[in-house]
Amino acid sequence: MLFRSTHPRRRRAVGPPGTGRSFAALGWLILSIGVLSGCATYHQQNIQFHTAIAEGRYQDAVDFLETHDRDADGKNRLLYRMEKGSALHLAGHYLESNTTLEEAYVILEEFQRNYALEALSFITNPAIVPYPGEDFEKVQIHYYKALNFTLLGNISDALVEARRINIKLNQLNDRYEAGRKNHYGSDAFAWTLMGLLFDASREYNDAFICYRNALDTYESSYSADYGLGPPDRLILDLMTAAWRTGLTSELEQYKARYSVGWSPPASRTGGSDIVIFWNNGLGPVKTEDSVNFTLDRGDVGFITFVSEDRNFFLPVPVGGKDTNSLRDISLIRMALPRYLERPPLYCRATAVCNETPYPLEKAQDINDIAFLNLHDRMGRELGTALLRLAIKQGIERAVRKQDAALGVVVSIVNAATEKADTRNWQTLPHDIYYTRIPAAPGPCEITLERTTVSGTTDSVSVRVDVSPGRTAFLVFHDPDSLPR
Amino acid sequence: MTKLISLCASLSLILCLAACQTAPTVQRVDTMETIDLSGRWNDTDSRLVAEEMISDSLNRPWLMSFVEKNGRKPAVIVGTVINRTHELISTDTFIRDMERAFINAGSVRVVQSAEAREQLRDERADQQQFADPETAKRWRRELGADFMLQGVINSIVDTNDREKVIYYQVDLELTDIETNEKVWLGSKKIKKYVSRY
Repeated sequence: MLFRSTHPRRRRAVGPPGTGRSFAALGWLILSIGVLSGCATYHQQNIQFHTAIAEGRYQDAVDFLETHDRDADGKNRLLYRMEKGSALHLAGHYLESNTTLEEAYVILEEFQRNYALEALSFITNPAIVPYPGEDFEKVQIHYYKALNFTLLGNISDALVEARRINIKLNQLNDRYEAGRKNHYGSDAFAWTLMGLLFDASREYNDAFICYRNALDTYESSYSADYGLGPPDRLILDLMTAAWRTGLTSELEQYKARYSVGWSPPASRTGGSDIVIFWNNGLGPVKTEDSVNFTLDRGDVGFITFVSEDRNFFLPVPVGGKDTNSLRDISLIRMALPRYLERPPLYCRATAVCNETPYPLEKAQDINDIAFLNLHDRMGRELGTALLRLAIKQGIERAVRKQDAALGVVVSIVNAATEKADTRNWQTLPHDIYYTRIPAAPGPCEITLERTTVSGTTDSVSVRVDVSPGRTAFLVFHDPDSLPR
Repeated sequence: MTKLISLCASLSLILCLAACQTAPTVQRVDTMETIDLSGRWNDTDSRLVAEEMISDSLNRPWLMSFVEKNGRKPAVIVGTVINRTHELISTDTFIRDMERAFINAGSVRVVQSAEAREQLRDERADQQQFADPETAKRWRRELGADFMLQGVINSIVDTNDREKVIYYQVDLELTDIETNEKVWLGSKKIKKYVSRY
């Protein structure tokens, strides 16, 4: 049950004998159905898919989604395509991955809030509305699409994704400037990725703009919010892009400010190199958390919802004959979403090319972004959950006044439908690392040496063909997480 | 019971509305219409720059001086327009407008850019091998440019919580390729105030 009443008489059935028992039985039936079908989190509902991803059985994960496509339409259609798009990418089906992620992009572009469904969510739960996607997830769609295009050797279409990221980041920035409390107002890694793509297409001026915006974001936001400073590789690429664009004064400023050992490359027009991404671990999953609130009736005309666990206080004005229902409540339990981290098995990696090691640097911490993002809006989540609870309580009271037995049914249904929205894109990596390796044209063997948190190392090698004067892209995925 | 019926009716209405979703509204608008949404560089800024630069470059003495001295129209090639702002700005839009105005006015000839020339040379090389010799185009007949158009875009952004002033300055210059002499300098300044109150 969501709440306990301090007035037992209000729970007593006053309808005709038998009617109450029938309604109660019906209520318990609904409750049972709710428990059996609806209480599982999104992760638990798709456990076979997520287990396959976590174990590196990517094709199995794709096959599972293709045979279990109940979410392909309806409220989870965006999430279905996000998960399927990344699973297809992991399985090496880059074209199909892009087709699926493009559908996700179109869904987001055409996404409109369904206010009626949102209203309905106040008497059921927030998981009934179409999944709108987290801001950082929307940006990640373009990361995967850009990776797919680069791996297919199509840099011009990868640049389309770079421009879409730019539009998305501008929208984010506008919202952030408009005063909404949100740490994720820009994405340093997305700017870096855009810079890498423009760099690869030899558009050094645009690459410079992106690298500089990335550096600004790392220094102004990521360092403080996620403890993630700018990678040295970014600063080196920024200086090279400035040098190639002819931005001499900017180059001198950066040389004076950063001691990263930059020296001019052999070619002003760009040589051959390899950009390596390492998607390490798996991002967090959302789960449900029960939060207990006690009611403080200290102030006249106000009731304060207090959660000492979460250090949360919400005063709600009460008064008038119809609001006394809140005064009946002494303890409230409500469901709120919470992220659960999946700590990665590996903590660092080094790419080795021709016996020269190139350490990969962390450029994105999706886990930390997700946690802080949810924390930023937890006030809104709590407010919404309380409003939902108040509305449910109001409905129950109205029904109970007419028919006490039916009131019991409503109470049970309310309890059965109360749950948090536990949906999120769960195949995203925990962190993203990258580096750039200068390489001679022709076939090249790259070995990725990975170190686990316990200090053991292992490695994996791949061959990559480098074209003269081109940038080759290489992606490693390690979904391995520490056992929970 | 009335309350209960009202409640059920409300729920039914919500369920019906939930099933319907409105489609986005799209309408064609005049490309000359100024629509500012964010304060960032947009099509209107590009148009303002193009108008200013076209008018200025075609009405300055460099053009008449060249024609009087050489008895022909000058040929111009577009070099790099460096973007020093914090935004990704496509300079192609106003540069293309300028090229079109030069050609349509009939007073300035325009030579292809370095990248496009490479593609054209590839095609010419291909023609030497595969095309009918009577139609294959000859080498060493390219038009050498007299002037190069180069430029830079700068911006200054001043901001507080909810207000922002953005200043753009686009500077273009035309340089004699043989003598390195600057023969024309064009500038367009745009200042915007953005408020989010």
